[in-house]
Amino acid sequence: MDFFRESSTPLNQLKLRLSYGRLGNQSGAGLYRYMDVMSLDAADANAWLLPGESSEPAKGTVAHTPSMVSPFITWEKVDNANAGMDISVFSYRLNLTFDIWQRTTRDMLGPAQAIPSIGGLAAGDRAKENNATLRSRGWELSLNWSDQTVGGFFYRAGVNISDYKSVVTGYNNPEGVISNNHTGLSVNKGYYEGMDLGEIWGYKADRLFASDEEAAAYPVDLSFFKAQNLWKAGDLRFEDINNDGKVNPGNGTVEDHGDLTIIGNATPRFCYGINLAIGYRGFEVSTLLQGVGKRDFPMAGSTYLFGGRNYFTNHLDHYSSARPDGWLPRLTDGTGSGDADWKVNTGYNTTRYLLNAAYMRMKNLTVSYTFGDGLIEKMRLKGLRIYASCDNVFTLDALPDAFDPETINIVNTWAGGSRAAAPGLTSVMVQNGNAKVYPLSRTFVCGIDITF
Amino acid sequence: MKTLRYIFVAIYVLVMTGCADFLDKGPITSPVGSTYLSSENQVYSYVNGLYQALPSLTQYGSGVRAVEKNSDNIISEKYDPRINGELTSFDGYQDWSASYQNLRDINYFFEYYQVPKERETEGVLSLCGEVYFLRAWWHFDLLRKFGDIPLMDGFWDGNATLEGLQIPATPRKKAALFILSDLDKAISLLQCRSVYSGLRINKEAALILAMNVALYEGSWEKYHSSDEFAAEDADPDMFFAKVMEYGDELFAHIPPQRGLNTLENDPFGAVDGGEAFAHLFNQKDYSDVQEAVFWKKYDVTKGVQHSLTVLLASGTVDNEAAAGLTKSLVDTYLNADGTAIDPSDPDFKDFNRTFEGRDRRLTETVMSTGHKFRSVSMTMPMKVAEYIYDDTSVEASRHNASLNPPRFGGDGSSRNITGYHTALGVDTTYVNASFWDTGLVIIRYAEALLAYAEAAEELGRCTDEVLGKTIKPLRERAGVAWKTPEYDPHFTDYGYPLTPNMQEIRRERRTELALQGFRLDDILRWRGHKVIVGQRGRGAYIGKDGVLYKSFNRNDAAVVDALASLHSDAQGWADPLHEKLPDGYCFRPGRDYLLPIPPEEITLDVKLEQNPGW
Repeated sequence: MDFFRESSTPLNQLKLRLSYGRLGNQSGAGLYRYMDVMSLDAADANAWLLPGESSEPAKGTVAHTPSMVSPFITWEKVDNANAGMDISVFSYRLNLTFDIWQRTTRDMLGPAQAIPSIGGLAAGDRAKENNATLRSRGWELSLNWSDQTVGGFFYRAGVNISDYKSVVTGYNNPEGVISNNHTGLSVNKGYYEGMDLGEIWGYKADRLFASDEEAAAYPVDLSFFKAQNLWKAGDLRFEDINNDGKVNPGNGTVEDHGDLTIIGNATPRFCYGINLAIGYRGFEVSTLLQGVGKRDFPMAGSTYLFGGRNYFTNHLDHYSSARPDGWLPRLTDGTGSGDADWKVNTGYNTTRYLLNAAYMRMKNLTVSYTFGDGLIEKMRLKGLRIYASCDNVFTLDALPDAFDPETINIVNTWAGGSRAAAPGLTSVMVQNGNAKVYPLSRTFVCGIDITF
Repeated sequence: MKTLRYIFVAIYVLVMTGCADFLDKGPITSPVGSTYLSSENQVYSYVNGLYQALPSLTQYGSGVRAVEKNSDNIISEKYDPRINGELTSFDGYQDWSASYQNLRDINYFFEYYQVPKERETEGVLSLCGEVYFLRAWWHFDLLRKFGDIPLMDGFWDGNATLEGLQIPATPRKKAALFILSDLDKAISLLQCRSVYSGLRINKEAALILAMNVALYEGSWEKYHSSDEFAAEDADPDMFFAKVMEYGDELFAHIPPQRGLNTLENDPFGAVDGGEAFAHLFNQKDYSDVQEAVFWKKYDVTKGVQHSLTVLLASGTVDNEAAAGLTKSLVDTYLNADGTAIDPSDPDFKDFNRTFEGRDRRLTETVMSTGHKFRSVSMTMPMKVAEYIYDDTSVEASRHNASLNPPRFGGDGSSRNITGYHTALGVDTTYVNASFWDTGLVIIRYAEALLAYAEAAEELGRCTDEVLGKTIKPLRERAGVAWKTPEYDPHFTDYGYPLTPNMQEIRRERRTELALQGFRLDDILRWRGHKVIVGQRGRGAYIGKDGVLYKSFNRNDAAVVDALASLHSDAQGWADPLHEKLPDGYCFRPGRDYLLPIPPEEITLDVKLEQNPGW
């Protein structure tokens, strides 16, 4: 390959990569789903005290009805295609790696086929099928530049960024029943064709009713949520986007989704990291920045919105007559019709309480000085370096103070709520991250590295 | 070369046998379902599991004692959304899918039951009868909630696809007949109550359930004959006649004088009939109580326990929110002399007078002065009497210390909002523990008497003889003198005229079955929305001249606050929901009689039709 070395291009390396492969995945299939296995429970917590098997009433062993048998399931096939290149130019000062990939999961064991509930099968008990196809496409780019001058000054800059998107391209849900948490729809039927993974269905409601009169005079029928006479100032003003005079989720299908629309996507897009360093004669300053370029986070059902057991000072920013532009809805007492009030204001995905979870964070900043050879030889050392470093230096984001973009999905169950994550589950009140988690700490470290 | 051959053979064996059947190993510890139901013990272990779905008291919560906040018997600050017309079209999903899941478990039994003929003992056949009973139970549950329903008459896993489940609803009359035919099979297969002392489903229980089903459908078809919920080719009289047939069979088997837990029959040594009635709700073992036809046993030591007793001991009516029993329930009970009360009589402004000389069931259902909450070593009995101020004598302070009026002050769900606490089910032997194990009667002989009398009256066959063996013994047990029914102008207005007999039958039903989960169903089948719509219930008299008000120590700031927060109507009766429900309950008679079929269910099964008004 000497012709390349001797040629006069600035290229030091140029590598093109192309790969394709198929893997099997059987982890979702379970061991015995092809048989009707009856589970026996000798210590069933719900068992009754019944006589019969023994003369004394006893809990005995309880046999539970098997799930539906799935005789034909097989493994999933994951096809990976990847094209990439590695380039180094200008005496290896600039390095670039770029990959573009597609992963297609065929015969995927998707959520069970949508069938009527009169079959008597809970979603998890239905026969599994290799009925879904999921296609993810993405790319990754990494770019690094480093250089130094004769005077002992050097610098380094690196950027990596990646993005992907997953689409359900095949799924047996011909009616297009939408599955999404916090929409008022009662049941999760799985995917539908053309679904972007992570999409958030919700209602358009940008502001609160400013006054009781406005709520009373609102010409749209909101009785899907709660009785018409219960709407007050500080309640969410749901908008009738399909102009049928009422706000509701229609039939909950892709075809007729009433006033539901896709208001965002919870999948993190454009994840990036930036590395920077400059140095001069033993001094060095380096930093790592990371972030997400685009992401939405629905707060519906989060105890951050409806209280739970603990509060932040941000919660004072709620609607009241003294504070008509408060961001949170009015306070309600949670009993009787108040029960509907808080569920309606905080239990649905709405544009008002959809957070922009994009962020950039300086993850680390380090300042160091490495002593020169002359000095350390006198001290009979092999190396000496002193440094100061700080983690989580600052964050740029648009979230309420209590939320951290890296822990946003986490639900502290002790502060109320379950760990179930949206989308997928169905109750209005199954909650999303509630901010009631230990925050990431900012740490300061000073140190001396001594090598003997 | 030889080694190479071995390698080839090894590869051949590995590759060519990779998919051989002998490698398909089933789990060692779990049996295969399709061959499991072949012996008596295995059938027991499966059928015992089916009991778990039946409604009963669970570890936490007030259970059946508080469900009647969905009616005019209990007022709760967390009122039932259905009677206020707050349900959305998606709210039927839970009930719908849970019942069909239970039915699948049941039909699985019929599909794979394979006990050989020679080993089908009476016990095994009775277990089959239990499963028929349960299939009727869950279809009846669906019928009451949804009206026309797809009948799950077989095991449907084989056609559990979208195409296979395009199943239309069966009109409600046919559905009711199907339920009764399952119960007929159950009745013919089941053993009598005496075999397992009522702990398992039995013949008598199936007869009573059949009476309830026939009565429900008959009265629905009669009272909803000309509204949007009318049944296809309705024939109420046929169903009423069936109620009487099943009743006659039951009475031939166990006559009323033996079936009721009267003073003479009570095994717990009751001192009067009222106490014999109370014993049906506060005892642990109902084996020897004939009236407890089917009941669930609890035992703390075996981990089968509930907290109802604990909640009642703290004065809690409904564990979900502050609540109380209603004035309208209290007013329904008769005087001991058999006459009806006049609720507008100013005498009843006196809390204590309300309970004097009345039907004994009133004092066993609603807390009154002298009634215990639990063992007196922990909590004093209720006592309402005037608080004595400005008197430092020992007697006065002793008197004041003995006062224990309703918990208007209390915290959370133990707070009372009407002045009427629940007495039904209070166990006075309970001292203090997290859980307790009072038994729960699920099907009771008295239901049969009430259903029988009602069906007879609907058919115009309610003779003195019928009343004499149904309503009369219930009344007499409660210490109420029997009187031939007379028209009561103050009786609950259901929106249409009732005969004197029917008034008394409905009164008896409401008082005998209060707080046992029947009231909403009765209102629905009687088309009685008049008792709900625009109403929000009232409580006891809390005017400043009443003894109830005066029994509180108004030197205590917290008490003063609690009393000030009570709202009463213009006449001084507690009106706790006036703020939450300014227009009363907004039950929608054109819609809320049935629950909505889940919309996605109609999308998936296009042969289904939505219920009226949704």
